[in-house]
Amino acid sequence: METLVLHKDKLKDFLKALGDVRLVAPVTVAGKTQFCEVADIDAVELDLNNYTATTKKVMFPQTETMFAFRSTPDGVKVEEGGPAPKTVVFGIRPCDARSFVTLDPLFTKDFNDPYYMKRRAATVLIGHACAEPTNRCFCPSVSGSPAGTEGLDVLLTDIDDGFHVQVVTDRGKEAISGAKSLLTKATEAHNKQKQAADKASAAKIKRSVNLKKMHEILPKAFGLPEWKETGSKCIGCGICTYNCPTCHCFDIQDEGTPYQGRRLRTWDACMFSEFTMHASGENPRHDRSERLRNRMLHKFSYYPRNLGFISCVGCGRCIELCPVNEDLIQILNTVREVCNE
Amino acid sequence: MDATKSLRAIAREVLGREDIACLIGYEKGSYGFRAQPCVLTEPDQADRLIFSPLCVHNLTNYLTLEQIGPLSKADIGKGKIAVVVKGCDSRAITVLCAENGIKRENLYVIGVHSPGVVDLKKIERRFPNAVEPAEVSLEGDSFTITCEGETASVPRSELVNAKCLRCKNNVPQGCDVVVEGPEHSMEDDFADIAALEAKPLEERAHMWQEQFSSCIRCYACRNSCPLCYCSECILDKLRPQFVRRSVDFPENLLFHSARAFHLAGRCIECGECERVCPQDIPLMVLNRKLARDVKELFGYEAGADPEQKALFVTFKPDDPNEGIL
Ligand code: SF4
Ligand code: SF4
Ligand code: SF4
Ligand code: SF4
Ligand code: SF4
Repeated sequence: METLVLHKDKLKDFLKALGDVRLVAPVTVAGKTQFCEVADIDAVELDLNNYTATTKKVMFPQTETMFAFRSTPDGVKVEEGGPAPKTVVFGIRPCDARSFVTLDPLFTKDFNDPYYMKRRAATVLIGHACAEPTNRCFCPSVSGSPAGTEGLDVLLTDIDDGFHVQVVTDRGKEAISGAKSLLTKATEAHNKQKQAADKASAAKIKRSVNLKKMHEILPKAFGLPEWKETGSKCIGCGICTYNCPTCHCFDIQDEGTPYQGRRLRTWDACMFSEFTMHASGENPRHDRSERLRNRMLHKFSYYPRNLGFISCVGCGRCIELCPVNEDLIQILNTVREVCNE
Repeated sequence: MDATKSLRAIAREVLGREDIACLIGYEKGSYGFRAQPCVLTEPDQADRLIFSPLCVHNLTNYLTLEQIGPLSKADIGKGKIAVVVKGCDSRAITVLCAENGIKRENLYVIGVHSPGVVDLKKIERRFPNAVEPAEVSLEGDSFTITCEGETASVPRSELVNAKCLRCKNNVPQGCDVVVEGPEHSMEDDFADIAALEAKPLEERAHMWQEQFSSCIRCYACRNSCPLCYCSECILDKLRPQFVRRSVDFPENLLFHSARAFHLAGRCIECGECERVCPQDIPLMVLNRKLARDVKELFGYEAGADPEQKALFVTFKPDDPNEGIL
């Protein structure tokens, strides 16, 4: 598809030219970078650094009303949520964009999840290639790349005077059509700069994990005593799952009174002890190490076997944010070593 | 380095003893500036231990969990648990024992005079993207930092955790054995809290509205806190459900109020809750506001005195204040 160039002074105009859409972009709220709905384009952080914030909530909000109910003299009235607003996510990282590709089969295979799918269909993803991969990044180990386009509609890459704009899909083309006058055709020189930028950022990735046959090795490692030692450091919080772009477990709850209320779904996490708690009080995953093992097996064995993707895009957030340095690279390397594979 | 050496010698001896089930300490982390907690059971594992300004965690948090290293619920209590503590961490043991959360006789407490721990966020901003395990030690008033083959010296005050700058006493209390080092004790005038209180109400309301709204309710602050150890937390309860699962400002406010108030007169200001928060919510401001109020109202500082009783189970017959009695 097309390759274009956007001068860096024109970035704000470019955002304005996206038209009447809900714009989600990195902004600073309460002192931290977050992906939020942007009311004021001037608030968008344009020195797009490599932030920790995830975009999962754009398709899969942490709290989502499935329907509201109310009892009236004419019976119970049920109101479902409306259609998803047309949305553009700007500045999303290639790993985060790819996470939606890995989530799609989960939300469509046995059942078309209307909540996820309506947002997915209404959302255009404009990515920003990573010029500065961090020490937590290992996307190439899971077939990603700091300049990957999988899942993206448009990809921006920093070049000398601004951005190289790669249009990936027709949806992307359509979404930026209002900005035509701001974009020029990329020349051979621009494309060369883009290639050099991609190469330079790929070379900055220092961490990696060998996942060859990992989906087969992990089940064999199920009974290893090493899990107890590695996993018992874990304090059973929701950091790794809630900040992971590919973790997707949820809970369904009713809130309100029998007369008026709503049914909602909220994120849940396999690292919480109540996640597997049975009504009887029995908990089949009693220890934290069993829960950590499950997280590893789910991502690197069950999910790839059932849905065809490793449920990890190598963003490394779980590694960076874990309070006790549970590091999946270290864990998987140990597993491979102990299994002699 | 010396603390590490002494610690290893102690650990080798302790892990050889019949009455010790395991030892909770620190070992080298997987990358950069990270150290990690570890649970050792054999004397020949002692050389894995380290102690340095990277040992940020409060390991007493593990003492009340249902699984400690390879020990599952059934094994806990069969032998003593040895644990490495800094000054602040040792005060958590004081509070836990005063509350009967743990029994002191089931512990073997190894204290270390900590030179102060780094603020991981600050040091990682200063030395970004370190992959090779880095080393940090205190020399004089500066941290010597070896990172990716280069050595730098940075004033301690620039990288140390804020709690260490107001540390009442870095000498751990009530230990079975102590690894000695420089001692320090600072006055805490709660100037940060006074400064915040001096701000207009609207400004503070706005600040907390923003902060609490950005909380993702991962409960890492609760789970990292040595003194949040109820086996059934009201936040998890479904019947009745005290705090709803929906994550929004009203419910988050309720959660944060519950967390902070349940720690009033108990929080020993180890700062773990704030350190682990992925959303950088300034939880220590809440904790310290309550700590200051408790100090002013009751002349009580949580964990300060090894003999002290838990605040909320004590009363004075000659209490000058109006009370429920
Ligand atoms: S692995 Fe780390 S982030 Fe995940 S639950 Fe355990 S302590 Fe929390
Ligand atoms: S498992 Fe960790 S590295 Fe993989 S996608 Fe999730 S947060 Fe990122
Ligand atoms: S994991 Fe790859 S795509 Fe994601 S932020 Fe890092 S370099 Fe960029
Ligand atoms: S650690 Fe931070 S984000 Fe997580 S629940 Fe506590 S305050 Fe909220
Ligand atoms: S509330 Fe925070 S500072 Fe206080 S004891 Fe718990 S973890 Fe430490």
